[in-house]
Amino acid sequence: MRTYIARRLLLLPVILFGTTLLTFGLLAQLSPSQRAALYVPRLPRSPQAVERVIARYGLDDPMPEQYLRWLGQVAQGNLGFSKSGGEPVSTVIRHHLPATLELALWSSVTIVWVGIRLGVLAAIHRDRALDQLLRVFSTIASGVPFYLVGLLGLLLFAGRLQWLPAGDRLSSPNQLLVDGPTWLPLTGMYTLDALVNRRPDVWLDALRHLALPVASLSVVSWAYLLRVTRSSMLEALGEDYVRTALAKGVPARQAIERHAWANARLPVVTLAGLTVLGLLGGVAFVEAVFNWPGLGSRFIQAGVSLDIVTTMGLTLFAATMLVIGNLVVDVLGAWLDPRIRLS
Amino acid sequence: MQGGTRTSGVRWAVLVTALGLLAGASGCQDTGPAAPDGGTPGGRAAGEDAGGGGWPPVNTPADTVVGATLVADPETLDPAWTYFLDAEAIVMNMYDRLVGFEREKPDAFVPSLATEWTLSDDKTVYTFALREGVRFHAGGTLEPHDVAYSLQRAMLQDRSAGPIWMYLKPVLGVSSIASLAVELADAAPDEGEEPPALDALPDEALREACEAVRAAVTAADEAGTVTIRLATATPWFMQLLAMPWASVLDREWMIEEGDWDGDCDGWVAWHDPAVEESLLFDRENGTGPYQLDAWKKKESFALEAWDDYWRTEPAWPGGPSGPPRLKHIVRHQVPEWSTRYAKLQSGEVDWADVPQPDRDQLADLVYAECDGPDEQAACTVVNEAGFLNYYSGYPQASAWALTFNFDIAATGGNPYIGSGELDGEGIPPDFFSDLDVRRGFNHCFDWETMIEEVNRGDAVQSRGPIISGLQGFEEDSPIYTFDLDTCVEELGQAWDGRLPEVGFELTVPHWAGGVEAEAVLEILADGLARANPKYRLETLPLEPTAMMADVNDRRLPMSIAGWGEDYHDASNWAFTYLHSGGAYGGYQSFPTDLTTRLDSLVEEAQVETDDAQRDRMYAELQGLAIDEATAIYLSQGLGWRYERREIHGVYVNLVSPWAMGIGPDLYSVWKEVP
Repeated sequence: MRTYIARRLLLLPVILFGTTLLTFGLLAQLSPSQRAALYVPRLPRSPQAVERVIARYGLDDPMPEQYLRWLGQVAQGNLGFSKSGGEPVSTVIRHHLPATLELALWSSVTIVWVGIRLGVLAAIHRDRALDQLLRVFSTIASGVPFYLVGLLGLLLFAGRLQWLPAGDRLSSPNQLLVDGPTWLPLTGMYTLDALVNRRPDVWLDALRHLALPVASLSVVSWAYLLRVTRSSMLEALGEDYVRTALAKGVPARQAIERHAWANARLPVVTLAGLTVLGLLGGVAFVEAVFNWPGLGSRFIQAGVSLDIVTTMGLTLFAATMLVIGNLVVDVLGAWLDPRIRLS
Repeated sequence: MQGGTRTSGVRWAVLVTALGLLAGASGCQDTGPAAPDGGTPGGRAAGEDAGGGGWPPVNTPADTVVGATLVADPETLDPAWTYFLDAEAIVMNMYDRLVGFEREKPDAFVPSLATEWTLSDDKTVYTFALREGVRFHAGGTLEPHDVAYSLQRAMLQDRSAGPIWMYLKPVLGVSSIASLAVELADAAPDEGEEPPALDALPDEALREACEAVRAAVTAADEAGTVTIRLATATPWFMQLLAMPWASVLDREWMIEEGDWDGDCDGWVAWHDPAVEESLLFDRENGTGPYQLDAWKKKESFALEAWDDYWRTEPAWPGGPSGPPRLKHIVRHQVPEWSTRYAKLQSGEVDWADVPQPDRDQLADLVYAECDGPDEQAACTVVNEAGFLNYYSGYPQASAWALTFNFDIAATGGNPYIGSGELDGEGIPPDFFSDLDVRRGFNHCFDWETMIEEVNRGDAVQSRGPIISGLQGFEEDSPIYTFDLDTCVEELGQAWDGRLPEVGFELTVPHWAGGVEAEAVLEILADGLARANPKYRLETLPLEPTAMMADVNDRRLPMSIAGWGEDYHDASNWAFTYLHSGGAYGGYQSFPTDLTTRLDSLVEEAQVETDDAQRDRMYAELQGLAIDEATAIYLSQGLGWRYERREIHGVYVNLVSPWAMGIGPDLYSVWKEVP
């Protein structure tokens, strides 16, 4: 296992190198004067002044030289200045990452826990009413985009029924509280910070604000996870070792959990991992619908502002997260199934 | 198998219970969320106040007004820098000025930091007696030298295309402090050449310019007075003193924090700063009823009541006094209209930016329709279950236009002009320097559709930059009409007749979420495409800050230019849209001959004292703007807004209206459930 992890870790810098190369490659498509426009808030109009900017930032140097210089800056956490955010890109990430992380964490837990349970339920109720119902749900939900679920949820549960808040992370008074001097902002994730600050009302408020965005992200993901879990479980439940276990008098629950699930979980865990990583894409739309001040909405804002520096910085950050996330999924898979690490 | 199912059932029960608790918790929200101090709930539920008699949900505390807006960030908090309605309204609440408006009247004034004032016989010398015992938010005490410093700083800062020209013209007779320094240095450029940079001028000239400013505004600390000397009598000068740019700062605090030191040596270092470079960009220290609470860029902006506010007597009968009744004013940036709508519907916000074309969606939420700007208007209850009051049909001094950039900046590439050539894939940077193009665009624009679809009928076509009711406005002056044949003809003549064959493509950005602007551009795009399918205009939603940066850099081929007047006079409109130093004219890069013509006419009209002559001059400017097609002058609309029924005390002042959920006088506003 250790050798497997070491091998994967050794690959990490190579993949990250490729990622930076790709990201920088996009920037290199622009002409020096176009890139100069990214470095200064107000590009002077005279060609001579533009030349000075190009010379100052070495934008006419050979590409490898520029790449190394850029890489050096990135390594120091300098991802450039975000025009659309009005602050350095690294600050944009620092300010908005906790919101996205909080949403992603709660969504991951909900997606994985509920999605797998639904799949197992469908499998053990094969061809019965519950199974049919879940299959219909899965077919419909897998065809609906995240943002549509979000919009419908918003209009129904927030606007019409008023059961849940319509966007944002907290209600206004609580937001003022957490932005104030008395609040200890340990993680920037309000559901955690509320516990540290001993404010159950804020915790509940944060949870209520999370409910709709999390549900929007989960519904579509459940559909996929449900299908894979169901078919994996059905396959496992039909295996001889499960039938043998049941024949020997092992309780049904134990046969499902210890025997069938132990063998069915690998594809499920892989898919769950990929689904959670795939949230990065869906999060952007859900954040926009629910006015969730995370990195996803920043990404969209940078995109519509033609803010290349921010788009690049956030792309690089997201790509790094994806690479690391993939590593975690791989390691988890190997830990669950020795055949992977032995091969 | 059975056991497994039962166990899952138990877990499901737990899950469902948890979800139920969450949902149930929402039912508790009508007790009002906890106050920011972490203590008692910030406000009672409106439903409780009404005895549970079906009052719609209010989920904001009784002492807080929450808004959901397209943009939460003010442009800046520097009173002398901002030239944006919402930032001006914010500044009005954080700072005080020598005088204030008497409620909604733009030409009647009440004492504020000045207790009384006199005006010399020749109407050029104002002397103000200052109020005693007024404290700034940071603790300093108001003294006459603070007032003098504030006005002097504003005039020396004079950021380009900013608001300070309005003060420089009456006080010193110039349109910018730079032009005064150039004049004093005798360094006027030759025709067609750029004037020299300020730091290239001799120190003596710079010092003289500064001394002129200091001589114009003087303080007598012992006498407790401030004197302002004007170069020419200016009837609207008192209006200017009541506006945000004349806000009073604490001189000692400003110097301590690193702003202009009050000295005439080296003042250029503080001249024309970039927006973030100003000390007051995101800080404040005023004497107003509200202070800055929190500003989370791109997310929210909040004001907090200043409980030590100095006012003990109402400024007008029935007006407010004592600490502000509303303790918090919060506005959230919510770019999505559907989210804003849901928030309004659920009572999470008291106010929301409503796109004009989507007004019909609120019909079910309206309680009363009022034919006027405030609670004194005649109101008709249309839906007992509604919770919004809809005020409409009142005059407002605002209009908008679609301006042309005659010389688009293209250095470093410009995505809005495509190839940058007249090859069908873009436009050359000087595309709009051709009069036929500008006239053709005007004839391709369908005003009727715009007024019907975008303004919902509550508007009239503009007849140039000057709005109705002001000098120079004539009901029968020539205007463009939607006429595709003429559009085809005009564009066919443009660029030596090459356009119909080659075609063009340009991209015009608008504020992301600004559906009105998008709709206007789509109407124009449609007209052009109908004239010739090779005439392509694309629209692009752009984040406001990024868009403003591109406007400032003159990179936009066309821009949506809405204006709410600074003072009620034609000179404000003419300068803004037509003068090379105006907020819009300044970014259009008019050719030199047109600039000279427009600038001189605008400046002459400004100082003209004969009313009939003024009227003629402004009519000439109005005609010139149409003849030269400097813009597509869109419409002047009637005012309308939606407000929750609990909100009281709002009034509308023509020159100082509400913008993006913030009014210029929040001190007068309170919430109360009947």
